[in-house]
Amino acid sequence: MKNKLRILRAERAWSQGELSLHLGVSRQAVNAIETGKHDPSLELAFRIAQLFQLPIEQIFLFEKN
Amino acid sequence: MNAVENASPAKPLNPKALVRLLLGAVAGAAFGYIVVKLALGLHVPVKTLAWSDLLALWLGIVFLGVGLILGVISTSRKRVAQTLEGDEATLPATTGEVIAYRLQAASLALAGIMFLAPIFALGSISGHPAVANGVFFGILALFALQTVANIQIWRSSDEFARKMTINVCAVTFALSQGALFLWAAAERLHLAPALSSWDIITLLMSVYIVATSVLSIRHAR
Repeated sequence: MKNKLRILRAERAWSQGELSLHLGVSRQAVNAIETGKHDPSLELAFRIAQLFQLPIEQIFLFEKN
Repeated sequence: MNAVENASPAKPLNPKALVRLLLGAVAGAAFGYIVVKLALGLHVPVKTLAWSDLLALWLGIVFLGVGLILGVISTSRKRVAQTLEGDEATLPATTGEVIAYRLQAASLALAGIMFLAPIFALGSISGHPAVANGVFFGILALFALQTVANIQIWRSSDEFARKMTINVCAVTFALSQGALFLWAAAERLHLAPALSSWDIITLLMSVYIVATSVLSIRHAR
C-alpha cells in the first residue's frame, strides 16, 4: 500500500522523531510506513488521518497487486 | 496534492556506514579473542569442544557483544536518536527510547552470559557437582531477570516492533521445525546420530540470529 506520509510530514517540516511523538509510535515504525515496509494497523491509520485532518483514503492508496 | 509517496529510492553507499562496519568487525574480532582467552584461562578445553559448545560460544559472544554495544549507545540520547533515525534526527531520544534500548541491551547481554556460563564452567565441574549446581542456579536467576526484561520490551513495543518480533519467531519456527522433523525422522530410522537438547537450543538460537539479522536488514532504513 502506498502512502503520502513522507510528503505530509515534509509539509509540516517534522522529522520522523517528531511525527513519532505525535503518533505515539517508534521512529522505526514511522520510517517503515513511509518506505512502504509496514502497513499500519487500522487504528494507527485512523490516528494518522486524525493528525493530518485528512480522510484515510487521501493518505493511503490501496492498490491491487 | 496528487503525488503519492513511493518506497524510498536506493541510497548511495554511505562511507560512514562502511567505516562503522569495519570498526565493528575489528571490535567483534577483538571481543571474541578476549572471550576465548578468558575461557582458556578457566581451563575450558576450547580445542576439543563439541560443535554445539563452539556454537554456544559464538552465540554468547554475539549476544554479549551486541548487548554491550547497545548499552554503550544507550548512554547518550543523541546517539540513540541517530541510531534510530540516522543523521536526520533532530530530537534527542526520549526517555522511553533510552529505556527500550537499555532493556534490549540487558536482555541480549544476559542471553550471552547464559550461553557462555555452561561452557566457561566446563573446566571446573568435573568431580565438583556443587559448582555445576551453583552455575545452574545462577543461570536460573539470570533467566528470570531476562524474562522480566523481555516482557517489559514487549509491553513497551509498538505495533511495528511487535510485528517484527512475531515475524522473526514465525521464520525461526518454520525453519527449525522443518529441519528438526527431518533430523528426528532420520534419527528414528537410525540414519542420523541423536541430538542433545544443548545441540538443539544452540541450533535454534543460531537460526534465530540469522532470521533477526535478515529481517532487520530488510526493514532497515
